Amino acid sequence: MKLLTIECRRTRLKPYGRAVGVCGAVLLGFLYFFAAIPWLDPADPDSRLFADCGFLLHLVGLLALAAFTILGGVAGARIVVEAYGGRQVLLLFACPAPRGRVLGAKLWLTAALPAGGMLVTGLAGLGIFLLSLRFWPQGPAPLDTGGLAAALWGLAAGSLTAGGLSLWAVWVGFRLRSVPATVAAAAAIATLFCQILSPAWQLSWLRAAGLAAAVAGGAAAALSLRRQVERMEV
Amino acid sequence: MSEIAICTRQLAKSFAGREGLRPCSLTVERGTLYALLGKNGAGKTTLFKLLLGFLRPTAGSAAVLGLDCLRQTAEVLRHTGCLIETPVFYEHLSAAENLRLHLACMECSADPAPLLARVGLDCADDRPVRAYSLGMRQRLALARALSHRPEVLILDEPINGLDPVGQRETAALFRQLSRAEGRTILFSSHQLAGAAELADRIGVLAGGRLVLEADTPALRRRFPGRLEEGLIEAMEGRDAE
Repeated sequence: MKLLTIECRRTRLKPYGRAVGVCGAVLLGFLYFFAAIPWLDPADPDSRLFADCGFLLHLVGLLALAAFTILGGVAGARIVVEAYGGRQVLLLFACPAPRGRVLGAKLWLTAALPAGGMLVTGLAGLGIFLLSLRFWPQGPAPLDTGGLAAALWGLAAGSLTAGGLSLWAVWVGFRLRSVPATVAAAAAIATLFCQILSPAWQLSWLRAAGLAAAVAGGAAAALSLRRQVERMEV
Repeated sequence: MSEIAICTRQLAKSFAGREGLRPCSLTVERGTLYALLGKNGAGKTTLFKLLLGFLRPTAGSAAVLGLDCLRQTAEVLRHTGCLIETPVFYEHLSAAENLRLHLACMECSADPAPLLARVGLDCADDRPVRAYSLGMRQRLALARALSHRPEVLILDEPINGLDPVGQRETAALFRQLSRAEGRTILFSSHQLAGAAELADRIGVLAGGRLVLEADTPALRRRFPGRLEEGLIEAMEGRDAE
């Protein structure tokens, strides 16, 4: 915890906070845009799909997963890849705490930024959207209790998945010692996962499987990174 | 407690077949100001990094205050203040914030203001470190190295970038740390006259090998009136005895 506090102090978190806010606002905008499609084009039979609140939240959830995984990749590129690839590594290795624990704090922060950011903006966006439906009778039908529970579970699972996938991207970037490669890996992994999870709207087990894979992969990436850092010479 | 602060035994390091440091046995007694001299690439920084556990030796061993540099790195770091190569900082933070972070890492509590004042910096200066000149960065690096009150200081070219006044102040600070506070200082420098003036003992590395090592008065007797030339000859490998 102490190392995590130190890590927060030495990392400029403000830009990430702003990025989280922008992502949340843009995703909320997408949610309203998708919700307006049946009203904008009532003649198109496919547009009726967008009248389902569960489908809308799933669709925007996928976009959020992609956006926050990339954000996690960008954060990881700076917090981990750049720190260990540049001269700043001397500061890290001059700290008497075990190298693995210092790295652990960095990885927790890297995973917590997208996971926390997606969860907070998701909850805020969901609240705003569901409340606004009261004043929009021709909009999608409000969620029942089961639908709300499914939306919250989807949001929680998506947030943790984004955190886990960010660590995958950091692992790739660390191996290649490249900041751009970290961001590119985050984008590629996010795109792949969104494709895989796209049927999760109807297959709820798929979301759980995706979450398990992301978290297990993230843990494996963290262990591999720890081994590399412990053997590192500077 | 051992009277030996730093001890290496046949310490060697190779980088992909190139010998960065050939088997080197060096002893620095407590409270000594030891100047390690040598041309660029002679192995000074490699030796310092081996002492701090940043590099793993290819052969031999090293100890600081009796602590094994490879197996007890954390303890070595706790008792050692270091400045390696060009100092690195968290550029967006002020000098005081950089010191506070370092102290947090070292699990120490101290007020940064007197530390900064000791090296001639102003604690009220809340500019980020990226706005600092090379000399100010060097002073801040010294303050950081001293901040957790280490018994041993390992300083790679600590007067690099300092103006003549700064060099004189730093030399006075080193004397005080060594003579009055009993701290051990192992430092490297390319300013031979200044280093010889300051150091109690001098070692010269050439091509990764410790080619000359003696107390400064003994070296003055050996090279009467031409100590600098004698040291340069040793650095060039012309005096390996």
